Amino acid sequence: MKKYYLPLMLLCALSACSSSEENKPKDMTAPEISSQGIVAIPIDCEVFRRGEVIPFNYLFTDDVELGAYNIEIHNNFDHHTHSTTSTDCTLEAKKAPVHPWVYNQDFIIPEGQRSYIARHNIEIPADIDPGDYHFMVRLTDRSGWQKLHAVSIKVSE
Amino acid sequence: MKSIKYLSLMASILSVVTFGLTSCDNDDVEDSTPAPTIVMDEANIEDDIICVKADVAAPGKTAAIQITVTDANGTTTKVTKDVTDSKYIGMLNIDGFHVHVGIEGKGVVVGDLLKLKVTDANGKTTVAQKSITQEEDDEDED
Repeated sequence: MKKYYLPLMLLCALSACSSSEENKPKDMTAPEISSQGIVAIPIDCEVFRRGEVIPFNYLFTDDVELGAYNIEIHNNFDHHTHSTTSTDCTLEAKKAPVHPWVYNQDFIIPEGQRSYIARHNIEIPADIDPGDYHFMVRLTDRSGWQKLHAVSIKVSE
Repeated sequence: MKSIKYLSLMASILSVVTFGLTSCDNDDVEDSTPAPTIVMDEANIEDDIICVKADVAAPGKTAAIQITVTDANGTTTKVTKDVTDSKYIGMLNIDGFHVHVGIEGKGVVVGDLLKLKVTDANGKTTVAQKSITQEEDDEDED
């Protein structure tokens, strides 16, 4: 019986090394931001008025687990672009910002979600510069993969 | 004689346990994880800011990000900015990194160097640099 001790102990010691983390399937894909099955807001070239709200509405999905998202709004008075913004919207003339709208907010998605509809009413301040803005949605899954969705909007007086 | 056998058995047990515990160390995994990679898209002066755009991949997850502006030779540092936004830290990738760096009164000129340093959770660091340019007047410049 004693001759089985060492192989058995070695087996136990090695098996103790496999952590639950290693047993999990590796997440290799970024999450998705989509409008499937919903009316997505905002969309490219959409116009809002100062003092109104943007009823943000988007569908987030991931193959393993969603994590968090960030919404950021900044002016596009200089006509810059981002990788996912539409260039088809009619832009106003370039101008220097005086009191531009700046919005930057993080949101946590409840644990265990692979699909999540994000809804927020984002108030547009009444005293900001009207004009062209970028509405940026940055979605991250629980593993740390990230996807950016940038939308061109206009804020009118 | 029994005590020698007992001691030998104990020594064997100790060796196996020690081997088992040390083999659990994940240093090998950390060592094999590639360092971050950075693709610099833009470092443009726009009035009193520099607009920095890049794409980052960090299999070891981003832990620290620093932007530095130096003269063209890289010898004199003019501006340093640590980027700590939660949307950029702890990420396997940063899709469309976009940060504005204030340069008012810092003497930054076209031709200076912008360095973007990304350090991952394993301590591996990658630095990418780009010569600073003036924002073009043409529309839709990215």
